[in-house]
Amino acid sequence: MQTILVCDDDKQIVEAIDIYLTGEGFKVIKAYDGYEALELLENNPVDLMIVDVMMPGLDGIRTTLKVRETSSIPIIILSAKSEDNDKILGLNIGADDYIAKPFNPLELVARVKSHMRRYTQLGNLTHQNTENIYKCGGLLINDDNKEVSVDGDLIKLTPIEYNILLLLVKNAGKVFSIDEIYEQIWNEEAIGADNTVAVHIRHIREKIEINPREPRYLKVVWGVGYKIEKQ
Amino acid sequence: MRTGTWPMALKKQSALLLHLLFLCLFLAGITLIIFNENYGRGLGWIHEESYADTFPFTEQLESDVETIFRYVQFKDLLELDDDVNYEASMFCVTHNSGNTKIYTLNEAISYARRLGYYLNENYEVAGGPEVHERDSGNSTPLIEWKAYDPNEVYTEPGDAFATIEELSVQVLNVLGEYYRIRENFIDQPSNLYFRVSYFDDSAEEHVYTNASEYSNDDLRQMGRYLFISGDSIFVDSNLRYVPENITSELAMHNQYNNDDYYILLGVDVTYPNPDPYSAANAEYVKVRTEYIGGTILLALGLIGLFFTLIVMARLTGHTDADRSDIALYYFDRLPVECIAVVFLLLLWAGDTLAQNGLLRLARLIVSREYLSYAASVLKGVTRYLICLGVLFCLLRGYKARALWKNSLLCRGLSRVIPAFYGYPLPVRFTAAFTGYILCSAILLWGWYYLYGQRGNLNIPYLYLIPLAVLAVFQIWVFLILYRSRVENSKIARGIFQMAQGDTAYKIDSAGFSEDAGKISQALNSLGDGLDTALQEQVKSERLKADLITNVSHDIKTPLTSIINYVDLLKRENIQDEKIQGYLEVLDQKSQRLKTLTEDLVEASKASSGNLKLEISDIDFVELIHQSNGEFEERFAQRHLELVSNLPSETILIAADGRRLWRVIENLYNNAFKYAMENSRVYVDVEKRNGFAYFTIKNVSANPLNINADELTERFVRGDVARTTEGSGLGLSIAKSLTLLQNGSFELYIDGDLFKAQVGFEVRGTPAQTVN
Repeated sequence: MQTILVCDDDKQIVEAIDIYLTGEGFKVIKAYDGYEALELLENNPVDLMIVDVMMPGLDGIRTTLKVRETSSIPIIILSAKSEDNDKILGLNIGADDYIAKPFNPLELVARVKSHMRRYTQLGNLTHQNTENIYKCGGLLINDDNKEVSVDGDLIKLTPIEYNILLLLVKNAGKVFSIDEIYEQIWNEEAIGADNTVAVHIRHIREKIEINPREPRYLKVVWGVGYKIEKQ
Repeated sequence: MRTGTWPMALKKQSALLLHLLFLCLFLAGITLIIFNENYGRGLGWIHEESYADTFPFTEQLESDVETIFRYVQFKDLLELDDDVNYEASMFCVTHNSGNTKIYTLNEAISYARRLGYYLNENYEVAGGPEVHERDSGNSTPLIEWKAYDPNEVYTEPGDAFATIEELSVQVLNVLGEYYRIRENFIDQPSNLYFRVSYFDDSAEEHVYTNASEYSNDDLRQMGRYLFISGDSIFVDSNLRYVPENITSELAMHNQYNNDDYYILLGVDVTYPNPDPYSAANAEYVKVRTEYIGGTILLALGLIGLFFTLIVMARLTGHTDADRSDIALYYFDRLPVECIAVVFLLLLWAGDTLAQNGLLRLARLIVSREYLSYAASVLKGVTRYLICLGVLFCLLRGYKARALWKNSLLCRGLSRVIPAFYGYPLPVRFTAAFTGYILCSAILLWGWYYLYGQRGNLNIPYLYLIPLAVLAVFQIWVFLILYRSRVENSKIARGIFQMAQGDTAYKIDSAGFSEDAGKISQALNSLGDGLDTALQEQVKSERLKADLITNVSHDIKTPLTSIINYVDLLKRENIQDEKIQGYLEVLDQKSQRLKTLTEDLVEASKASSGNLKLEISDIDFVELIHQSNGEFEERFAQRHLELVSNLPSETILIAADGRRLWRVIENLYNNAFKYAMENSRVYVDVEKRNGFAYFTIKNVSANPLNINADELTERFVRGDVARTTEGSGLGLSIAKSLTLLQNGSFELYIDGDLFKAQVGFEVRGTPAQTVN
């Protein structure tokens, strides 16, 4: 059974998370400040850690730094601070994900699962034949059998959606404008292209992202185009 | 030199002494130059010219050329084998008796000697009979010819007759002259060497020279030479002036019928032999040295005068090197007008003294020819000293800043002006302007009057004085007006700057008049006050934003629990519909609370500008396409048709893509929430006057009984009853974010038609990313 360490100074929140995660079949260890979390981490095998930022004693940021000195388990920061700066700081010091309070319980569970799969299962995929396999974080495209999976879960895409995603993943990091995507996929000149591409992109995002409003893979560069974040 | 330790009085005295010394030098220099022969020729000649180039040299040479040809003539006449030929025939006369007789030199000398004539040490004819005895009978025989003057032309009948005595004296004169030439040129060494050469018909050379030991080339090397030959019209010479008589003389003395002759003159410019040339050269060098000396003295005097004047100007008024205050003499305290009068009186007295007193003294020691010069020197020196004294008096006054204060004009004005301040401004201004006109008119009239009377006035150019005063007066008035104008414009610029929001702007009041200085100071403090108030406002706005952020953090934690436990309750599979209904309300309201806290933070940050923008060039059209893609299907849920009218071209604007998306998203959300179902939402982008405008139009589901401006106020929603979801902050956030990115944001309400317009300046060139 996989063990998850949840650390928050608000006992009710810890309790609620405990209920959700236990319901999904995880074992949950509870801590109410940073020191306690570090102590539990030392004495128990832990597969994933959820930590709050604003805590008395050792706060979430410092706890994350301490954990990262010895361990590479996935860490999800859970915080009432939802500013960009706070998210960037959290991710920069070694957290794998950042979820703002108040959170959607379903989203939390989905993210925990995603990180768990990547941490435990996908680590050993690299030795496969990679010629026609494109990988970007938890996103995997096998061009031989036209299969797309996110964190191990197979995703069903229409052919056009698949082609758009393939184009973007092949050129990860590069920004494509709507017209460029249209010309590449439809092989037609984009004269006054309508909203087709944008709609398809939205569909793809809804399928591969946990929270389409805060995409991890398919990002919108507003006023410029779309890109797959290089990971 | 440790001048710093000298007592001040000693410094002043030595400076004055030096000044007077340099004045003497200056005068000495001027005197040397003025009485030099070369006065008026400038300075160029000093290095360009030597004695051999001067006109006196040419004159001397011309007379010597004449002498040389005389020698040529005499040598043929009187010489035989380099000695005097006493048997040479001199003249021939026909006596009244009909006898024709040729007299030889010897006979002529004997005849003259008998009568008592002789040649003195200068080879001049002297002596002669006490009484001229008339020769009996043939006292005046007819002259047949004269060997020494073959070309003599008789212009009057009596000229052809002469006594033997007269002719003998003439011969004696010729002989004397011959001796003189021989001695000066041949026997004694001369600085002028000559060689005259004629070839006779049998090609035999007849040479006349005093330079038999020198070759022609030697003569050419002596310094100055002159070579003229019969077969050339050109003169070969390095002389500045060629004697005018030489060519004709040369040709005249050619006794042969050919062009084969030449003359070569050489002047040894080192002048080793005592003769007229060396004497004249010595004189020339002396004059030239004097001129140079005079020039140097003059320059030295001028420089010395200048520097000692500066030193004195710096020292004057100071009693001690350590003290900066200025000591004034009694004379210095007089009003400047009195000083001017005294100055004029002094000038007159000085002139009189120089004319009547000093000049008479000078007459005792100065010779008559220099007297007028001495008079002008005395006059000049007294005038100079008087000017110097008055100048230093004024200088001390100026240093002590007492010049204007002590003047009668200032004293008068200081009594008149305060009286004016009692009157209102229009009266004062009119009075001042009238005064200006009056002063100008009086001065102009004074000039006109004096100009008309200028013939009757003793002092020349007196009529220029009112003109000069007028000019100074006009310049003074101009400066006052100019300064006032500059002050006004500076103050105006300050006011405009402050009005445009630059409250930190300070008017630079350096050099302002008292009134303008007060105004600018008042304005500056006004700006300070505004600036402080504005900063306070910004600060409080920021504090408010911080407070809201912190409060929202504190709200979010319990809100998380509420949302989570409501969710958990919902999962408990409660059958009671009433409880399910309550839970639904709890769920909705907790979700709204969540949106509200998030929007509140964003709104406060956007309106206080407490945001970090990432401005870059983005395509406005692309952004709307992307937004359409995000919303098309959501609109379809509420049966809203999205009608977009977008240009196919790219429209670049400088904005922060993510923030602009928030603006557009809020507008779309607004339409999504409040548009009437089954209606259309119109979206346009158009380019107009260099600006790109995005417009969204929809028909509101509820009546919009509200002002468009109020809609962007925080917490204002179209439905006053607040039945729908939403924080009421969406439009406020959109507006604040747009304005932060230098865009324009306008709302229009026309009945139920809601229209929002976002405008950005179209960029021609890519912009750098600005934070």
